[in-house]
Amino acid sequence: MEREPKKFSSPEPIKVSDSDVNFPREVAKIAGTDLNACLTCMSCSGGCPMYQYMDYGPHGIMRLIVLGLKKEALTSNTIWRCLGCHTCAAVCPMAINIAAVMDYLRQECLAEKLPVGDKPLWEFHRCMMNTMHRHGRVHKLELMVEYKIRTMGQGPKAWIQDALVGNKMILMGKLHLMPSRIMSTGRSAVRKILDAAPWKSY
Amino acid sequence: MTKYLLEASFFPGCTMKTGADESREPMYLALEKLGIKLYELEDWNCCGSSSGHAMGHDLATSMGARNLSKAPLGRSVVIPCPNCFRNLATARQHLIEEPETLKKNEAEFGRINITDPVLNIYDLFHHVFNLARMGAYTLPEHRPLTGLKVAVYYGCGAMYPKALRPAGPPRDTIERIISEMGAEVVTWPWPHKCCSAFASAVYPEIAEDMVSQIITGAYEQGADCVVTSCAMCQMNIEMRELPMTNHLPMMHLNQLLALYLGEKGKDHEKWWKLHLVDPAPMLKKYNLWT
Repeated sequence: MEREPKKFSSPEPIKVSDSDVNFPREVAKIAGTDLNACLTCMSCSGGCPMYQYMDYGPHGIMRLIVLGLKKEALTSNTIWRCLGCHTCAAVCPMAINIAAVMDYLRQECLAEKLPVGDKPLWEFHRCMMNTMHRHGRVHKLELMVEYKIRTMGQGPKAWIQDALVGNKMILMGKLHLMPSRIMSTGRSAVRKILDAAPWKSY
Repeated sequence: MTKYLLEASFFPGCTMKTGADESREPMYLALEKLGIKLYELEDWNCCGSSSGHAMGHDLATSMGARNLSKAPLGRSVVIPCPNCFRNLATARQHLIEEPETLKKNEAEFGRINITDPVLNIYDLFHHVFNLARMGAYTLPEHRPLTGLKVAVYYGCGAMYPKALRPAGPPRDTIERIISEMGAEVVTWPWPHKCCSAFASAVYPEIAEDMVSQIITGAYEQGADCVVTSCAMCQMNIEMRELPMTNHLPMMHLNQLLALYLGEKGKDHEKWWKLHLVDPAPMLKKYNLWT
């Protein structure tokens, strides 16, 4: 994957005129801290393992939120390329839970039915939620097979990607063939939880 | 007085349940030797990891709440997977802080156990080794892992939000266990680096980039192997380090514990067969395995 040029270094100015005043307040409820506390010290982006592949980076997203630029934040690929490793949350000197903010933005993006910034990663999330929906637990092998089927349109490179090592792991017995399921009462409880979330209707 | 040192509830997590046999079996062996009895939670569900909390805030809390509702009172919940631990602990934190959420979830799942702590399995081992060092507990028969140089890799599962762990990520937990076992801990730059998690399946080239930093970092510091407590990290790193020139065996913490506490023999053979990078030559070199 190519390294992403950062959007904020482009010559085009950011339009603040169409900013959403309530957006920072909504996010502050999730983050546990007022985002005005952000020092722009860039510790989050400095620690972020995916920073070089993101268009804004975590600190850029924090700025967009403070400025109330909801649409820019929700359609960026940064929120999807965040792996949820919590490095940003652990290093933030102002104790802003940035990883939780990223989670919230992804959910908002799905709830408002905006285009997702990174299609393959969203497909992967959807496949994982589907296995969870079927069994109540995640089954890696099934997840990978479903992901392969869903991303078939990307061409032959996607078909053969990791096929060799994947098959080797199945033959070794590192990945179990059969999923582990929960009982039917539990399954319906889990399905009820999953259906209430915004990913289902996207 | 029970015959066990400790009894606790156990939440295995999806990775340990369907795969990672090479970590689960030594874990049970080590626990049995240390006199710790774990009772698996009845009918547990996914913790809401990686995708769960990304797709819904209430979803992640409810998934955690349902698991905690299965936990009997008086026993802490022990979790072998760092990511599951973070999610369950976060859900528990939300339930404690927000009485409304707790009420809503209790109406759904019945009584939820938020009084007993949620523990990471390496914290448990750390505790036992601390007791042994203080003389409050005598370790069973063991053989030290002399000479082995180990790079300790926590993975990003050890990075917690400040509300959960104000002191920051652990830096002395697995290290302490390893040095108590007689092996040598290597100082290296990436103990908490992310292994690329689910991006490994979507963008292998990103994963290779991250894993090469981790493995090269350990290699340059002269480590013989990298040890981790996360089964997912172990699989990711092993998969992505295969094309590299210098690859190191990726060991589970449980395997080192089993080598330390167990008998030297052929019974471990099937664990090494589940590794993509075979650790047997390294173990033979240090006379830890036949």
